[in-house]
Amino acid sequence: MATLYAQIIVNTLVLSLTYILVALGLTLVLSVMDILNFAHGAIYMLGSYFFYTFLTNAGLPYFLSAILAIVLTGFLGILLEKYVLRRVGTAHLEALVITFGLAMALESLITIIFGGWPLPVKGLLTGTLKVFGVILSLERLMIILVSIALVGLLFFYVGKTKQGRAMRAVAQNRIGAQLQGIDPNRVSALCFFISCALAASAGVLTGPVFGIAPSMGLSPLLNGFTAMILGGLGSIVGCVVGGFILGALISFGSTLLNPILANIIAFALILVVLIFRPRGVMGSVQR
Amino acid sequence: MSKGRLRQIGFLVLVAALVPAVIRDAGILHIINMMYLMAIPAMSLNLIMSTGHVSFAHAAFIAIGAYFSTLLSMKAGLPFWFCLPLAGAVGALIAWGIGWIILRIKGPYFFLVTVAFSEVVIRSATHFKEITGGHQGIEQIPKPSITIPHLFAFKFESETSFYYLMLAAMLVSLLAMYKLQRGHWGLSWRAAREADMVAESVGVDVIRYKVAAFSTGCFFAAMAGSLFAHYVSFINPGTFGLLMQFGMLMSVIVGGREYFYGPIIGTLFLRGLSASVARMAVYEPIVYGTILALIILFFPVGIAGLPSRFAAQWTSILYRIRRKAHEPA
Repeated sequence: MATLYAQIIVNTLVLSLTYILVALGLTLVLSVMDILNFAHGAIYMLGSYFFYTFLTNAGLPYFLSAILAIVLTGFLGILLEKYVLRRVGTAHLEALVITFGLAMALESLITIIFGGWPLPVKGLLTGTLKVFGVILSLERLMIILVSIALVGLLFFYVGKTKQGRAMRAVAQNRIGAQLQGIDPNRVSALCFFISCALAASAGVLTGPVFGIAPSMGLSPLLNGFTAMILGGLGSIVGCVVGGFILGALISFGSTLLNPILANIIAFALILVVLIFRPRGVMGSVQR
Repeated sequence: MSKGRLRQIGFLVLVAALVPAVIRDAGILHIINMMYLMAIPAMSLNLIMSTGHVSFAHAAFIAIGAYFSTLLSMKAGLPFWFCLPLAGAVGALIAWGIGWIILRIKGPYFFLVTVAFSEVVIRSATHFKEITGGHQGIEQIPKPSITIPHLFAFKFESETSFYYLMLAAMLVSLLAMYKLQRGHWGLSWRAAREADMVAESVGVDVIRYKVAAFSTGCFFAAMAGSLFAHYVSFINPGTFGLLMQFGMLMSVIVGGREYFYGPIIGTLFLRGLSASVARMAVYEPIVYGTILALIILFFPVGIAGLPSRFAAQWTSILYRIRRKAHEPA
């Protein structure tokens, strides 16, 4: 029994941190550029396929292929921002439809190249760790540690550095930030790079655990939105809190009840949260 | 409506009525039938969007209409002609109930609430297998028929017979929505979108008008769902997923959301496009997605806005030519 609960808790952390990494990217883009990025799931998928290609087809070592995949996805994000989303501006309905079209195109591109079936990815660590008679997978523990480090890094970056401050300024008031000599386009590009890199790192980390498939992006996308709403739109701390609530709900619900029912409960929960507390658990004042 | 415009529309309807005489291929007729059918929810989505709220739960309301109507006709044995308005009424009732709460939420928040609502509906349809058949869905839904005992019996079976049913359904919904949007209600809806504080200050009960728009839109969506179920004879939760929802949203935007006929033009265009690239099999989504992105990037007003844009350019060209002609040599 102890093993079961410990494993559920580890699963909760892995799921939550995946959602958090995805939701953080969504939040950054939403607060800085006012765009709901529906291509984020496809970018997560793309990151893990880049990783797979470098690792399996090119035969590069694990760390090199992970970093290459993350950076490459980030640069793709910059291209996407510069040539597509900047032209649409802040018309967020058009941006929404364009990003969805893009997600569709990317998904089918990957299906053409790699086939529609799921592929296994070789992980870094195999084997298990036995703590107090509880068997835990090493791979999952590593995912938890690395994700926490990444989230901490993002907190430091947004909270303490100059670029982070510029980002927050643009999120608060685009024109005001411009008057202070901040180039909003540069900040948008930077923020898209970070957002895509975070999604790709989630893809790289979870690929070995869940396997990769062209349609793998949809569920983290929807759950990322959910985590974002639960925590409050535009709040980074809220994202983390929302991600943990959602991860716990889905992981405990799936094991103890039924996976579909757990998802229904999660979505019903957002309805309730949005109705009674539209700014979410940690959200700031609604704009 | 002016007399000239009425004549144009009459001509278009006449042409549309003659289409089955020319096109005999059942496959093509099926595509056209689906265009007419999906134009109804696209227009009603635009009606909701005229209040400034972008609903992502429209496909969920189509699903509600489809499942309700199917269950009524298969479990209770009611004929299609009762199921259709009842499905619409249920859709409108649910929309009215949740509308009072969720329409107070604005912008991206509203959008995300409707995403959550549609996920709840679609996943419930998957989960409660005893009623909805789960992933497999429901097959062999009875097709509509007209029967007058001892006198006359007609069953809608061929694509041609459905063609006229869909055409009639689309025209009736179009007329109803046209009347609504051009009247007092439509004005209040647009006022609510442009400046809801101002509208409220001059005595428009904004939330009431928004709820009315939302339930009207969902009424038409649920009716379209009922039509869909009895036309295709097969429904499952996957049919009403993200793809259908985005299809409608794209139709509205590509067609031109500032124009009443925009969603129809958008539906005809996008369905025609996807049917014509369907032959490319695996490459279809890439071509489709690219064309879509190009249209949105280069014609943000939508296809319905193209004639007036070209007209403006044409006028300016004419003006320049005339001015050159009049200039002294």
